[in-house]
Amino acid sequence: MSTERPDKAVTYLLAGRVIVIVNGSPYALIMPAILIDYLGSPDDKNLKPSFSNFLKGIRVLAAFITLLLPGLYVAITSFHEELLPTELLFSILASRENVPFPIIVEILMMEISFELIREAGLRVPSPIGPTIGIVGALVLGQAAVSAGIVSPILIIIVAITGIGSFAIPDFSFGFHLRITRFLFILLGYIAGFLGIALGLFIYTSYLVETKSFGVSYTLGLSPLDNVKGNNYYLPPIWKREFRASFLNTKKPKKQSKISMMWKYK
Amino acid sequence: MIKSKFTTVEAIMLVLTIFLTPSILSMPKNLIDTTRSSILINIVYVTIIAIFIAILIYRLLKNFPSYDIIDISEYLGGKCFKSIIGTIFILYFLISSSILLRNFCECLKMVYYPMTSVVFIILAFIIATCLSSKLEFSTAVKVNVIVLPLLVISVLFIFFANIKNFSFENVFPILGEGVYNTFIIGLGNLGAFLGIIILYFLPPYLKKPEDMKKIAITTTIIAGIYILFCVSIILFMFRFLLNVDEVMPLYYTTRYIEFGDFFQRLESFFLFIWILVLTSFVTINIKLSMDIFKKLTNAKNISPMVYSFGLIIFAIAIFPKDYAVSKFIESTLYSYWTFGISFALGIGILIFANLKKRKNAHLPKQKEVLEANE
Amino acid sequence: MNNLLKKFFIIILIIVFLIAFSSSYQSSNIGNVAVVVAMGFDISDTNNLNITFQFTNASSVSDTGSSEKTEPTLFSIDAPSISSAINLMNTNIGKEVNLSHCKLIVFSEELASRGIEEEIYTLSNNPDVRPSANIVVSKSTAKTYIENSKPTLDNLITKYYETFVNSSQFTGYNSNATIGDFFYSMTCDACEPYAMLGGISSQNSSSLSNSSSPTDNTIKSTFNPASGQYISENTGLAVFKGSTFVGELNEIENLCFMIVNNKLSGFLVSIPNPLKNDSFIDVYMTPVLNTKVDAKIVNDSPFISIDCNFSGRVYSIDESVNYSDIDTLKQISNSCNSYLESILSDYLYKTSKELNADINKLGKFIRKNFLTESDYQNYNWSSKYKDTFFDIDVDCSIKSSFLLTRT
Repeated sequence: MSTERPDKAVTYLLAGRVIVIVNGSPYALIMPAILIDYLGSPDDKNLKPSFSNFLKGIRVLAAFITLLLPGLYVAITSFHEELLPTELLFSILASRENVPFPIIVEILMMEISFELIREAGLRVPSPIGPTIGIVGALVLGQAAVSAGIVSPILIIIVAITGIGSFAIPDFSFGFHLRITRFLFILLGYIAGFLGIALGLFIYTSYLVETKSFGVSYTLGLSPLDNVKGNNYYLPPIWKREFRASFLNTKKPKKQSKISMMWKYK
Repeated sequence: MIKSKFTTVEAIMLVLTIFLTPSILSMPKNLIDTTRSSILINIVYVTIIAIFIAILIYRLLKNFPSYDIIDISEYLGGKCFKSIIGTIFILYFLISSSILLRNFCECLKMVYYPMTSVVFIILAFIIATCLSSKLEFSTAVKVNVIVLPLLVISVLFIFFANIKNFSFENVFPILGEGVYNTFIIGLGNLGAFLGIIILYFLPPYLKKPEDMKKIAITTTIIAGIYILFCVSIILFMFRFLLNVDEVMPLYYTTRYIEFGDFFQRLESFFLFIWILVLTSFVTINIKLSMDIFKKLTNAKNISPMVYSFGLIIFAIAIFPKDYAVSKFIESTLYSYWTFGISFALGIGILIFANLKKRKNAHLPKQKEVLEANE
Repeated sequence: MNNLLKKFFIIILIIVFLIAFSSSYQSSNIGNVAVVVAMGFDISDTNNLNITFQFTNASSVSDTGSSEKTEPTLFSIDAPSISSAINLMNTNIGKEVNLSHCKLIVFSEELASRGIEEEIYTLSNNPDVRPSANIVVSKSTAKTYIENSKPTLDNLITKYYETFVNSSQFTGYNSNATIGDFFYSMTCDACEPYAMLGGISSQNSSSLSNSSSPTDNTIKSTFNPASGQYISENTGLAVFKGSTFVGELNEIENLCFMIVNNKLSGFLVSIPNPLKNDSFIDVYMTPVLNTKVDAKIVNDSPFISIDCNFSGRVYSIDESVNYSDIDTLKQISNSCNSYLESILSDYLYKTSKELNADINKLGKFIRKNFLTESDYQNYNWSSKYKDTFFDIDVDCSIKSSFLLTRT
């Protein structure tokens, strides 16, 4: 994991990770890094635990949405429309009445346009850069709906997917999700839920296979993995007793069981 | 030499996959067919017997620490016997995967892909399992730890979501088809615990071999409770299923789940979970077969064998002409055949190996006594 | 070279799967399906099935964002079976008929009397058809019934089909009869199926309402005193023996059915006023406990006792009556008890003696008197049901009236 923030690097160093700093590069490399580290923000530890756990939940949801929402939409509308409530089905049918393209073409068109706008927003001079991103997306979407090229529901799907990808703190993790979702769109189009389930299985297998300096990437993902300090759930500050057990640190305990002794004296 | 080592939890999940996956197909209905309304009593009875069998297997394996049944068969009958037994078990794993895969794909075709040939649906599964089987065994087991709890949660969800449709009076008459059918013929329902076969292969994979007893008993109890839930759902909801054959009884029950007007027809989500579980099951079977094959041939690199095993599963899966034939194979032939392998063959080998070991242990003592007398 | 071969192989695979699954995609893709919301079955002149499909067009959303209500479209086809009708319909409309959102299945009385086993088996065998789709036996033709099923207070017909059965829980005058339950009861050896009784309100409804008795026990579909435009009605129950329609139940009998089967959240009942002759008071009852059914076999005949427990509040109140007086409430309770016991008794004996159809699934309670299946099968419950004796005990505790307790 790479970071430009000194506070993030120091936090991980104190947690027992290894930091690599190279002269001339603004980034510090943190290793080993597991999946949940990419969904955490350095500010989480400074917030109340309930707030940071809520935000973490939102980010996990955002990761799922970014990866799977377009694929699921294509799969449901192509093979599994009985899943939709009848009124929603009719809303989708109504919105697609005048659209000349099949769903897969529509969704690929809008996803690629969104990526184009995002990339263009980076290169446009800074006074108008952010505006181009927002206005471009809005105007493009609205114009496309008015022209009858895409359906309004698809704009909502693409917008939610895009917003989900922005909610992920780590840039490289978000990027990999943005790329992989095209694979899931294709799988959803080919074989519906079967394609997505098989794709998800292979994707999870490769995620689990990945190791970060000897540590399994998805360590602690299953609740049955009894890993202390795994970062999935942030306990209150007085309960953060252990460092991550997979780091095999010299001092596994970072604070005593009752850390707020001043309360009981 | 087996590289992958699993923790106790991973081993329990691994064994449970083999136990629980057939329940998504017609296993619950086959269980109910023999005993009718006394199925609940029968499952409790059969679970207790299965626990004793699991303990027996543990006791027999205890004398051969870190040996699996292939190593024990080599000890018993030499390399030739080892090859025979290894081949039988490889065939068992491959055929059981193929039959389950075929039946599940037939159901998927019926529901979602009526115009697509079942060959392509099976091919999709085979490609996915081959890709995931190319990775390490520990990967497959770790993925299984993520995927299998979803199966258990899905069945529990079906149970509690359908509770308003239950008629608990369906448990009467309490003795079903009679005492003889419930307790003697009902012994055939031990077929629900054919997954016990995986216990024969577990010892070399365990990080903590001393947990083998705990694993054996825990998995059998959890499997018994899970199967009890599965058959309860069908018995309490559809007494008519006793008279009508249904393709996937659990799938049929998911069609009745509704929460108000918005959440209806949720069966696609359950099929999504069951696809993941079945893929995990086939992957694990292929990995086990590869490990057995490696033991038999002492090959250095067997990863290309993934494609061969995948092809064999594919060939066996497309072999039955239609669904009726594959269902017959699943409910009749496969159950009796695997009964023989799981219980008769496996326990037989262990018993004879233990006897041989005891005889060999006495022989040095006799030799010492003879020398002392001289 | 290896990498190139791998990539080529992957592309070939993708193309193969695209082609293989494209046919299923064509048939189930959202743009290619015509969604059926209701189906009706009649007997045609040629003694075939006349199947009516009701399609609804998606409401078109205009630029201003308001939706325009579009009328549902009806098509009728004469065909020997459901599958051939669907086949013909696919040809005629050029889209794939999709039954996964079909909420209503209507059979005409004529067809139901002939027997609908084949149709029910075909529909239950279809993975598209929802088990929660409502089943109605219409006293008019199914086509007329569907034509006149127009929502008056809803915009969308599908919303209307979903919600019109909700009233059954708090009135008891109709029931949420589903095709899943119908199929279950038809194949079960201990019960018989039932369906909703539907019909069209006649224009002479005002004269009928004068002749209907004050206790409204003749109200059922087509005899409903509610007047208005041609509207479809769903009041009462259609009783089946096996797959053949054998009789009807009016709204009070339907209420008794709902009580025995624990399907009510509450109901309003008009009981004879114990404090004044020739007058009735309305009491709103809510079940306190589930109806308890206990079945025994006495001298080879079934003996079924039914215990009901309700709590009630008086709706219609009279002048100069103290509704918080214990004696008054006790009198009203006793009147409630005797009234409910009598209607329940009439209903149960009607189903057993007259119709010989156990729609209350009482056979499942008799099963516990047997040890084995063969004993139960030998007893032959369906033939013994007509010899059943019922003992009904109703306990209503009237709390008070609602806002006014003394006048």
